[in-house]
Amino acid sequence: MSLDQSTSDTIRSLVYDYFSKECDVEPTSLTDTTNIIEDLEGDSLMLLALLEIVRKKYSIGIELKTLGKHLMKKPANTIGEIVHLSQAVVEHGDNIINVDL
Amino acid sequence: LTFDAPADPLVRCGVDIEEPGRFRRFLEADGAAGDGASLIWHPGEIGAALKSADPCRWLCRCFCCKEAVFKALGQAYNYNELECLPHDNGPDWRLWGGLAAGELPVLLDWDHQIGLVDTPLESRATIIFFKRAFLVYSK
Repeated sequence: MSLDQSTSDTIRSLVYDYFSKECDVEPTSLTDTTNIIEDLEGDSLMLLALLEIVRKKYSIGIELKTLGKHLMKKPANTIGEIVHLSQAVVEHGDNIINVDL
Repeated sequence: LTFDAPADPLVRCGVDIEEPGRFRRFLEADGAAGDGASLIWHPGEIGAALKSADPCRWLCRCFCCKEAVFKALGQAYNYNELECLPHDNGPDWRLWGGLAAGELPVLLDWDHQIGLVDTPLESRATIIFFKRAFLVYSK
């Protein structure tokens, strides 16, 4: 599916709200350059739970091994990178591994 | 914790620490496993967790072992294809799907030792993979 601006914005808000709630920080204190591990003490379980929320909301089928391979090529360490990753998951699903993002 | 291993290492190591309380989100209000659980745990693990006295703790220690394994291998995979099995001498695993077919060869070809410290408050897993030739050489 191709992402329109509204969907992209919704995903961005979803990611910001998620990390704000999970890490108990004000949404306004988060920026695209906030580092998930160093600044928020986040971990892979958070990423997996977020992925599940995105999968459910947009009925996306993607295997974790695909995501793992993608993250080997293009690591996601900051909020901005997680936003782009989530948008790419919704847009490309399992084909994410074949897309040059 | 992730180790940046050389291209052809003799030993691979992975460590993980998890808190059982964080896994409550994967259980429904009635105690059944939620949709997201099947993404991470094999049905055998979920079944065993739901039969256990503390499902969160069970899911936690299984996840902790999986994380340690994938960190050692330097790559995340389908978590639900690595089924952690409890044993008196420590945990072991059964492989499914692509993992059973050898998509991460280390899991099939290398020896390993895994340690798990499991308490109501946290699980700690350490895994070390040894290349078999390395073990022979060491002896």
